[in-house]
Amino acid sequence: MPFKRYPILYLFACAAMGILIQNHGLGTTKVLFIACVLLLLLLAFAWRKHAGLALIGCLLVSLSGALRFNQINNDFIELPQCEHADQRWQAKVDDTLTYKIDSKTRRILQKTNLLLEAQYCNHRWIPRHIRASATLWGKAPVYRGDIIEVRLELEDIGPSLTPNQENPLARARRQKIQKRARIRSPHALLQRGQGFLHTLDKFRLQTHQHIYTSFDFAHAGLISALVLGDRGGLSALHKDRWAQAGMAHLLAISGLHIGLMTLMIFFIFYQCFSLCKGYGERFSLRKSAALSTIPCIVLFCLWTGASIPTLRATLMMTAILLSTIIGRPKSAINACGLAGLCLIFWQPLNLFTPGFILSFGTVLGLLFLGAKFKTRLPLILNIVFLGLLSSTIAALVILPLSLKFFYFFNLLSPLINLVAIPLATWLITPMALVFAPMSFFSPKLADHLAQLLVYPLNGLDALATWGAQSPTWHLVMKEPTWSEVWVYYAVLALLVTYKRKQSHRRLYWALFLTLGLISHRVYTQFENENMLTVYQPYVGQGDAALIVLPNNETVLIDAGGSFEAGGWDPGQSVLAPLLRSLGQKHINLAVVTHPHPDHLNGFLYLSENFHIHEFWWNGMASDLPILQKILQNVEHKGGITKTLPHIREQKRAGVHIEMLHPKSTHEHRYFPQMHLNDNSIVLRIKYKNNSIFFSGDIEKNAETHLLEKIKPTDILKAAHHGSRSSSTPAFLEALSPQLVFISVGKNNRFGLPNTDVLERFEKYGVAIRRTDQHGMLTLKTDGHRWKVDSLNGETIILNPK
Amino acid sequence: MLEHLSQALFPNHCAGCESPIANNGRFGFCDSCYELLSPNNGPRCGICDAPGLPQTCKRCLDTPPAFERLWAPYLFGGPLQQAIHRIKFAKEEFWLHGLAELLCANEHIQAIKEHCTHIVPVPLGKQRLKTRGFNQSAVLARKIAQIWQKKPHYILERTRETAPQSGLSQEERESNMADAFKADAQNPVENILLIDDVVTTGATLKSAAQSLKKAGIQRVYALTLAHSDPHITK
Repeated sequence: MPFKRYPILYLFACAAMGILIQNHGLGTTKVLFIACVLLLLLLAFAWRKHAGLALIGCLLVSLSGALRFNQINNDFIELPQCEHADQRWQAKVDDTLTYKIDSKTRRILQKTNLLLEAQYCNHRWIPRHIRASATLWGKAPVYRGDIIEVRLELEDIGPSLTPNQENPLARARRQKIQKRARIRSPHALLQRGQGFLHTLDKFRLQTHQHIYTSFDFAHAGLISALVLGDRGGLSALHKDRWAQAGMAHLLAISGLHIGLMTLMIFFIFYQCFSLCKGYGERFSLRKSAALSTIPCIVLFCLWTGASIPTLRATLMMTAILLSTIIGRPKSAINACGLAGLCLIFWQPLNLFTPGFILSFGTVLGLLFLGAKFKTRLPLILNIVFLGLLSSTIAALVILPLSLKFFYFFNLLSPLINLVAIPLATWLITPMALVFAPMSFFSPKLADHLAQLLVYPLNGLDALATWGAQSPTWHLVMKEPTWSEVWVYYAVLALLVTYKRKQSHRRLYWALFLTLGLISHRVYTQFENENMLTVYQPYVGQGDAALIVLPNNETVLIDAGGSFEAGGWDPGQSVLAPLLRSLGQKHINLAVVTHPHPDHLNGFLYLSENFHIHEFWWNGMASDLPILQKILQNVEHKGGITKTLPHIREQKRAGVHIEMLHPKSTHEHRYFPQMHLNDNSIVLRIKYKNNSIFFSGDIEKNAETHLLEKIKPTDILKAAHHGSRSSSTPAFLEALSPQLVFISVGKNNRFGLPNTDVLERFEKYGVAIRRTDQHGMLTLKTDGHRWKVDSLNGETIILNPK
Repeated sequence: MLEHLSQALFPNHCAGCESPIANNGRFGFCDSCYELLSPNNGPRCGICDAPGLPQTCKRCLDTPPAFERLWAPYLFGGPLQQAIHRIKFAKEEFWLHGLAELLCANEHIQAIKEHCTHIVPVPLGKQRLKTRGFNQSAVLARKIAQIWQKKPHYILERTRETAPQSGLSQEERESNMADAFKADAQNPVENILLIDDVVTTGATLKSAAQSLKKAGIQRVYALTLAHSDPHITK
């Protein structure tokens, strides 16, 4: 890879390096960095002229990348406070809108970023300058540049509470958002915006409406993702299914779409120009077509909301077309480098997003590796071969990143994509793109087209479902470290550059590195031998604890869940990634303490996507549809379901799992006179000298009932999320825990945990950890002492009493 | 500055060997490829520039061409052949600019500049133009015209599609090209310079010159980049 051939790619790498260095927190090091740069500059001058110039260029670029990163990072300002603050604000719509239609009310929700310009404070408007994300639900459609008045409440954007999800702070910083706005009223339009973007948004909304009238709900979401780049209409489950099949990239306007669009537009212009008599003799058809194509794809990019992959692809295509126009050799690799350089200078934090890394990794991998293979096959065979080759290359490049970011990889995805990509890009997208303008001119014709479009869409969806439901092909592995990822790429690079005629040194190196990688993997598998680990993730308002036994078996006590149907599902978005990141496809024991939605609902996704070997519940509310579905799923996959009379104390890998409650004389062993909460399954888990107590949602009644049976324990999960009705002084005294943790949702509507209860804990000198403040807790023990880590708190070591 | 920027953004490479070159190198070639170019300055035909003996060649004696004189300052082969292949088959037209400059820089060509008043490219068939996206002769003609500060004139036209000349014998080439052109000269001018990329037997140029003569043009000269006469020993 000579510098002269791909200079921009090198500059891109330099800028990325500068940002990465700067990201590792520089105070004094910054000075050192600049000093090094100056030193190297001097050296460069002393060196050969051209190489020196190149070096200077690289260093300058990496320095400016670092400075740009600093500039973005220091963008945050403290907001001035105001007495007698009113909730009334004036705001300007400041970003692309994502539309979502509420499936029940059919109301269009408009998600965007607002620039808050003034607040009604002390009976007058006070100017402000805050950017906040908001979801507007008033009837009047808004477009970019509009000024609205709305009641809203500002919320701080907190740090990440679960490690397996995107950090909200990083995301906010990337979008330059300082606050989250909770909209409290329908908005009133004060002033319509003007200009090009405003008109564009207007057309977007109209297209969106046309799509939702011509298609049914599920298909409309897919089509608006493909045509408008708006994924608001897709449910989390739908997206998850496509992601599991390895087809998630088709749901966004990606490089593929832009590439296809460019080719199509170029072809159309080319044909038009070639029809003009004498035009081709006087002017170049290629140059003219290229010149006309650029504005079209830029327009399309803006229209779809200019997401990162879209911008990358648009910049790349523009660069390639531009090289045709100004008369330079076409180089896709350089164009890719140029796009990357522009994107990270525009927003350095892009460098850390999975989307950016994946899209650049794949494109560069395809360009470099794809160029290695040249065939002389007949046309059809050649197309098939190229398709297979590129999907294999893409899979090879994506594999470690996919494991790193999403914790699993579908081994069938190259095959699925071989069918899905042509179907989506050659059939569905062009048809959908024809549909969009047609719906304005002839709704009837557009409706017919929509009816036709439903078939390939169903096909694609069926493919995704099939891909997602063949779990044997899902590669789930313990999350690889970055160094492992780099070693993987080094091996790949060595194998690709190996030539049979050369010495075998590269091959030996590749072999050596592969062995190193495998042994490191195996070593980390056994790292936690003899350790009991309890993960207490943040699942919103609800309860969930994952216990990993010394022999790597998993026990899940509750799985969280939302109170509303279709709400945020912690089973899907927290527990599944957590389990996968630990390399688990099985749950050896699952316990629902009691079938309340905030303990039970998360199991639905898990029972569909994981093997649950044993499932315990207290036998109550057995007519609950969701519970029945879960039981059915577990049994269908060969698991056992047990209710109270059949639950015995278990010993797994040296860990005692003891059920303390409920144990009545009633036939079903629960207490019919008590409330569902008080019939929660209470578990005590003991490993050598250490123990932990899971109290479910029990309240005063059950606690009193339990008093005689309980022994002191090290750690207690606060009963009923720290509610006032639980954690009685007698109960606490009997247990005398050293640490209590509370699983509770941020700003929950029940006002949990109760302040009296918190004070009581403090009175007894118990350390407190809360998932809504400290984020996910990791409690580890070797059987002698506990080490309690939390995502946003200090580590506590509990020594035996 | 702009040149440096475009070099960084879209680095150039040699038309012959694809090794990277700074800016335009030497007429689009790297130094070593430029050295390998073989000029057609040995003994050659006084009319069609075919290399061989220092006298009018047999072909020109048997069937005197319609043009007065043809210049082909380089021999087809080596880097030049690579470049022309790349232009025609990889559809990269920009190297023609370098080649046009190369042509104009040739000292033998300077004389032509005064000789001719109009520059006319040999046109391409409609279908061929559509697949290639540009007419290499027209691009050359435009660039040469720009350097000489003249205007290119598109007075020739193809009357029909012709099969590719390569792989045909001389007779086949001539019958392939017979009456393939039509000239549209409203106000007959004196001297015309026909531009094409490569000349082999001269069949194309002869036919084009003939049609120009029919349209009443008095003298037709021809200029090509290279001569690729297969009968070098003749």
